[in-house]
Amino acid sequence: MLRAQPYRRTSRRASRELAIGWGEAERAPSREMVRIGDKVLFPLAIALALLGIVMVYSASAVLAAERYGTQYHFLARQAIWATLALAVMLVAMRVDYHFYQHPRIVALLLVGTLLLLGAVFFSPAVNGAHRWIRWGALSFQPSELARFALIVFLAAHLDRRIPAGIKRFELTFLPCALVAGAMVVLILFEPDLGMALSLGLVLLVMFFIVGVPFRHQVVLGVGALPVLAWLITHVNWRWERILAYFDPWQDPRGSGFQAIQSLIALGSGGGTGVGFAQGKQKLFFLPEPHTDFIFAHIGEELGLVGTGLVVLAFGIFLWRGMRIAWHAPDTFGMLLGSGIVVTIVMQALSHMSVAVGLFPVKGTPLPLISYGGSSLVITMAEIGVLLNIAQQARSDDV
Amino acid sequence: MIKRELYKKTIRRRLAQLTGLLSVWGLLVGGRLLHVQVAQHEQWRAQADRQQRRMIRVTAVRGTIYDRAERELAKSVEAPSIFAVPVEIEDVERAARELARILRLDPVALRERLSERREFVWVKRKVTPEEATAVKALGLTGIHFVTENKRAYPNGELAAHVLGYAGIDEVGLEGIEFAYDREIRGEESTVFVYRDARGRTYERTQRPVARGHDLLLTLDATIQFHVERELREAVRRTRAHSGVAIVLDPKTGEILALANVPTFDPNAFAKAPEEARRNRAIRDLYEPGSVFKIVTFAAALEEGLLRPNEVIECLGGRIVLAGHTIRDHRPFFRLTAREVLEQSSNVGTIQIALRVGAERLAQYIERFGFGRRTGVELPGEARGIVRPMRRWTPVSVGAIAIGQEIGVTALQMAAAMAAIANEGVWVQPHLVRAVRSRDGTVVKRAQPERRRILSPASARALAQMLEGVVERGTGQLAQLSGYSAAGKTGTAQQFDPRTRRYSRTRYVASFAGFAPVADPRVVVLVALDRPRPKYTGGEVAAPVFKRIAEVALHALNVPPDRQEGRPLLAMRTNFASEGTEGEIGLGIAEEGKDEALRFSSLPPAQRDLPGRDLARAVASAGRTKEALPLVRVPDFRGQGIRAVTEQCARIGLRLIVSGSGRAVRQEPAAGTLVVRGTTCRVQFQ
Repeated sequence: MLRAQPYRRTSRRASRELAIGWGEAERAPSREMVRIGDKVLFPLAIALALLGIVMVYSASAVLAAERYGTQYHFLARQAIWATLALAVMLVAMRVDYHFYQHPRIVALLLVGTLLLLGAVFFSPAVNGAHRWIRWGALSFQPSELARFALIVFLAAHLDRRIPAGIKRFELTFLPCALVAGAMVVLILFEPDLGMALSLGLVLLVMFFIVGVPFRHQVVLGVGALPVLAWLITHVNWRWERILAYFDPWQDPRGSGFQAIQSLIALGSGGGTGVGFAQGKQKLFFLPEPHTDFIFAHIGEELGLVGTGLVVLAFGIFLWRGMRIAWHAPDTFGMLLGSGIVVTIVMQALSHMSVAVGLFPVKGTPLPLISYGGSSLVITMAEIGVLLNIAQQARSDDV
Repeated sequence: MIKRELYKKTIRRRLAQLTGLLSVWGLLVGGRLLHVQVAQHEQWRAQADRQQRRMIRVTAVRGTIYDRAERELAKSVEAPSIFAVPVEIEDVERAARELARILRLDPVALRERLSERREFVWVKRKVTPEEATAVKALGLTGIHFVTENKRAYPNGELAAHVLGYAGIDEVGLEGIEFAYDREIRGEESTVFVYRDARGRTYERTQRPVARGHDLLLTLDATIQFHVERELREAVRRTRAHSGVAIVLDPKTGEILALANVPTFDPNAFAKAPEEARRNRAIRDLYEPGSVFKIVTFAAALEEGLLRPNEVIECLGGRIVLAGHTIRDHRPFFRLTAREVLEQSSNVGTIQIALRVGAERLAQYIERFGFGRRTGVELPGEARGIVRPMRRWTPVSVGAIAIGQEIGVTALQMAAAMAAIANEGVWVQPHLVRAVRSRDGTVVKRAQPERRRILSPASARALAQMLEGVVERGTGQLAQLSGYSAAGKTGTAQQFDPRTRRYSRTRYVASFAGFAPVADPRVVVLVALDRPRPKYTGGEVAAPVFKRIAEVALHALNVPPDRQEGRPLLAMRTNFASEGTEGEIGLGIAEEGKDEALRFSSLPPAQRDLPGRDLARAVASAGRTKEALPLVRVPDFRGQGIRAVTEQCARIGLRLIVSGSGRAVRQEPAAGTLVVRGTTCRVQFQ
């Protein structure tokens, strides 16, 4: 069953350290990159996380004071999560990414994720949705983990089908679609349409990268669209949000409220913003200013300077991430790396698109910046994995 | 293996495409950001302001109105206003009940207002500091305060008709407050109250307010005070319906005092009837009667048609003009022109008017400014009724010559008299000396219109004849102590619109004159409406002229030009202005000692006598019957409003109350001697 895969490693040392991956420190690093993988990506991730902590504080202080009696409620939690996330990233950097290719690990990840996704239904609902598993003062969102698990599964599975099996519907398309479908269905029941959609998008993107025949993807689209349409039209507020997307002023105090408030935040910020912590939109005009609308909040307080820098940062992230995937030593690395990069960048772009009114309103956190422990930890872990791929880049390719 | 390596190329191609796609998406986001944050910035900024803050308009600080000696007549004081943010109120029921109790509002209406789903409602504007403190002490949520300004007239009724008043929004509604509203009113200030999405306020900013300009009036508060007192007393004594008195400086046209009875307190103007608020001196028309004869005489003198000592045939007291008989009050036969004026003979005057002729008479009426607004700085001035000559009937020239068939305002008449006092130059009467900005620079200075309407010689001749009226004629009660005076009496029957005839019971008794004759310093006009049972100008108005002219001349420190040998009890009061105690200087003119009136104090031993005894002592020392009633101001401290009011009423002091509770401060101080009728200001706490 566990068939040895002859060309999945580039070096013997790496193969010896499969599933352990702690050996690097003993080796004399040939250059800096060996340790941190990418000299741009590593500080960029940390800088964005720090910006996140600061902006989460400025966005949530009033909210926290009112809800929890202390303005530091969200700040403290975000700082703890960020520390944890940094540790996780440092660990992930040291774990040889081929570790995730092992079928047993993939299976463990999938089963664990599905169990956790099932477990959320037994935890109390927050705002009418079962998205979190509470554990003391901290809560965890399994759907964040699900996305990583899906990327890992798809990268491992598709890599195994390269090159001949890709075009075979029953070997490639079907199993991938089934696994993804199972996760999507569970997440839809939470309900969390936005996250379900982003998992579907991960599937599509990975199919696109490895070149799954277009007709297979059409099948996926044809199957998914009516379901999506039904989901939107049969849940009142989703339909209203779609309508509000086309004309937010139809109901500026109701369904159009969030979209308009976001634009007011960004627009009133102007070029240089109203000043750090001086924002007024966070005073219950912007819904969830520290998570779903943190980009609008940054736009209000720091202006175009702030939003421009954030957009630029994710641009650089895309460039460095893609560069790592490009130079990955093997196809698994390329798939895993690009899956991670595209997922994070797409999520960021979705969040910003909602803020600027390009997309209808849906609750998507801005990766690394928005408040939210699970998202932060998983994202940093993914970046850690990415950095590990970077470390193993073939020198002749770099 | 080779195939797999080749596959990397496929993947890389896809990666490049994906990167391109995501970059385009990123550029779209960037483009939208530029559009929203830069191009539409202003629009969203405005949108944000609309929802994030609320503007409350707060009235500005109006400029102060001063009299000619810079005593405050009207000023703005800070007053807290209370507003509510209904969504913030926790217990509307309780809030409404408590607020209604403290602020004396209707609890039901208040509860209704506080229940409205609005973010801002006034609870009560311009409350007293005590009320504000009491409301603050309640510690209610959602109840807020802003500082507004409130117009205050520290002297109560003083010069009420000149000053007018300003409404709740600090907008001038009457008088000078209205006429100079643009200058006095400062810029409206805006308080920005920042609110969150739930309507709760958390911060506010108030821009410093620009103050309006100050006004410097021509009024002299001391003279004004005495004029009002004398007029009120006269109206009461003669049982007149109303009265008007004006004091003018003939040389400058400055109005030193202008009083109407009935009057009102501009601090509570809303409670006063229109009857009391109307400025009769400029708004009401009356037939001037004999006072108007000065126009006829001026025309005849100026045109060289009359010499003062020329004999006029008075036809035994009746003359028939186009079938109408006009009579004198008693039969005269042959009078000199001088005597015609002194005795106020209608027939003699008509004889003179016939020489002048309708055309020239009409000309002089126009020259004297009748039928046309004087242009005094008050709203609603009447033009007067002067029929154009083509509509005159054959009897008109006679009727108008003796002041009938014509409607004038008291101010027009006073200005006409002033022209004679001013050697033939008519000066526009005015009230505002200067408009001054807060930093003291004069923005606008009075530039009254001046017109020569008579030659100095004619004017002087007429002035001398008018002196005879006071010396020997109908105006003898207008004789002054220590000063020469000139003037003319008038007793006009009122035209009764119901019967369309002149009434036999309704008269306007008036007197207009000036003093001293050689160098007139004041022109005084007094008109009383419907006095009874005495009703002639000579009996009723002339004595008022005397009292007013005397205090005005004293206040202006005019040296006397007559040595009548009659000792004069002179009193000088310093008008009690804000912050200073009222003072009474008391003295006796010493007989024949000096040209100038000298004041000497009573011997120290007599100074502390009780009021009535002191007045008697002064009277005996001066050997005069005319002692002004003096009273000693009691010590009000610690007493309640009711007790103080009763005491003041008993001893004849006027009272201005501020605050509530027990008396803590008073002005003038306890023990001060003041003339009966003086105003006391007592502050309660």
